[in-house]
Amino acid sequence: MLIRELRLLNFRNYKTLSVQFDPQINIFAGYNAQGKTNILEAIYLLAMGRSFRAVKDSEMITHDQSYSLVSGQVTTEATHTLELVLKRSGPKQFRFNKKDLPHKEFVGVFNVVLFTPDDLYLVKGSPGGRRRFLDWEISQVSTGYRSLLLDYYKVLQHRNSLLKSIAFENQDPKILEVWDQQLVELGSRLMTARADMIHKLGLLSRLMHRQISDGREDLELRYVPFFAADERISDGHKYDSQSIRSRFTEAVASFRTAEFKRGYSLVGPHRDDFQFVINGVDLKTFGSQGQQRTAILACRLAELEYMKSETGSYPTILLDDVTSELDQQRKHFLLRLLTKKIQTVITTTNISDFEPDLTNGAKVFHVSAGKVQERR
Amino acid sequence: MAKYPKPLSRLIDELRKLPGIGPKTAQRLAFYIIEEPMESVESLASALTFAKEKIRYCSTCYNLTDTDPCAICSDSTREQSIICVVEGARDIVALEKTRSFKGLYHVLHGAIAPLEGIGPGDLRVKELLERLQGPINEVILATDPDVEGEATAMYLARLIKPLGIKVTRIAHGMPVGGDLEYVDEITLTKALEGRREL
Repeated sequence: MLIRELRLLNFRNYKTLSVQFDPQINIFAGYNAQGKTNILEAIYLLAMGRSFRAVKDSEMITHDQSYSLVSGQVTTEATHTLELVLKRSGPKQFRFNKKDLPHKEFVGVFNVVLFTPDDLYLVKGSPGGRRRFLDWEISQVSTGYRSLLLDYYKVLQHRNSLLKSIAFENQDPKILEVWDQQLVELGSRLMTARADMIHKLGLLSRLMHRQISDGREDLELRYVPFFAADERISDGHKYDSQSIRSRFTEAVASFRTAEFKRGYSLVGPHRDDFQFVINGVDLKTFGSQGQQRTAILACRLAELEYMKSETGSYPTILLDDVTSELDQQRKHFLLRLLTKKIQTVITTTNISDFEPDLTNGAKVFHVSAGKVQERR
Repeated sequence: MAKYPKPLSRLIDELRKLPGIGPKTAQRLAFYIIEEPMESVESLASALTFAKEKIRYCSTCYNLTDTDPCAICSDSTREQSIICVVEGARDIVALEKTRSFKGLYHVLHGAIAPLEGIGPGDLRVKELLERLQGPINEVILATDPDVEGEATAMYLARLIKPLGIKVTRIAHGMPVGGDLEYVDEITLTKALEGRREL
């Protein structure tokens, strides 16, 4: 999977831009605030249909313009044109080979993995961030997951609304059972998909991590289903759909009274989490910053392999300002691994951070005030 | 913005209240009506009031009707022992087009949706249970296959099963004439779950 070309119109600080990519390594170098990350953001948009940093789509439209166009030539089995139109008002539009496509079908045509300095949220941030990570990863490789998720949240909202009226307006609680049934049904399917994904990603992360850390440390990704939040989970435990369903059903029964009192749902995968564990210890509380970064890098690299196994080809990897993130040894490992195998787009403030034998084989661009120039 | 003469803006406002009609469409419809000859406007106006006066709910199945009981409920050639439960009167039109169902209907007028404050008490559930006192063998639950319709079907099944009446749910799955490879994963999963032996 490759991106061949990117064209931008009225996108952030680019009035117009056209970039041809190398199938292997592309480096965008320049000072801060010149527009390096904007290029990664545009590529990410073509893959995911949404930004990794803009809160509102209109933020990405060049100031004083009414719309913005991001288009790319990507090669999967064949070469396709992906286009995305952002408007100041109204929803964004997705086009695949000049034909309109709904968002959910647009996602997954072209896949990327992104590694940014902000990724630390995965270890240190709230469970909500980690759940979003899971949901997006699984959505990229399974279209059914997304609709399952939407249905689940619909059921959850109905159930919360009902619990509230039971708690405060003395509604008949018996009708809750039909929502319980759907909560367990849809929720268990979500959780099985999550358990499966974390299991696969965990095995791959461990391999990657061993190589980065020279086998000194053992990384494990540990799924923490909502019903096991306070439990000590043993290494390598994998939940199957049967055990998820039965523990979910038990939890619904045992939290019944508490839910009636609180007036909202206390059970379900909207309270799931997962942990990065090294040598048996949760990194969130006990890891050093360096350990946390390495774990995330291993996880991102594992994503590459995971997507390869699910979709059949490697996604493009986007590395935002990695040189500031990693020490020399990890940087070398990373670049050795990526060379030749995977299309890579890197941004950096300092091109001399990379070894000459890497930059010589790469396509290097200089980014300055919304202009991109290829170095020859 | 241009000001309309009062009678015209009143007409536009009334039309805007209709579902699916925005300000632009309301304006277009209003101008069209004004340009029409008087007879056709009168005919439209009388059709509105006539329909509203004559149409009411069937006291048995709560379908829309001009006679009570409705044409379906009073048709003695239909099977009197099967009731098909639907969310809205329009669902009956869809099912009748198939000509493959010969039983009776019951219209709930909605689905259970706590978010919108709709509970079983807001639907024609009590009336359905009253009908089940009669000689009914089977109830088919044909509510929509979304989360609200599903919840409604489960709720009714829980109420009706203890009465010793057979309760069935319409199948979810493959569209006829469709290619397996183009069907989305959810539909396909449902279709697999609902497979039957040949």
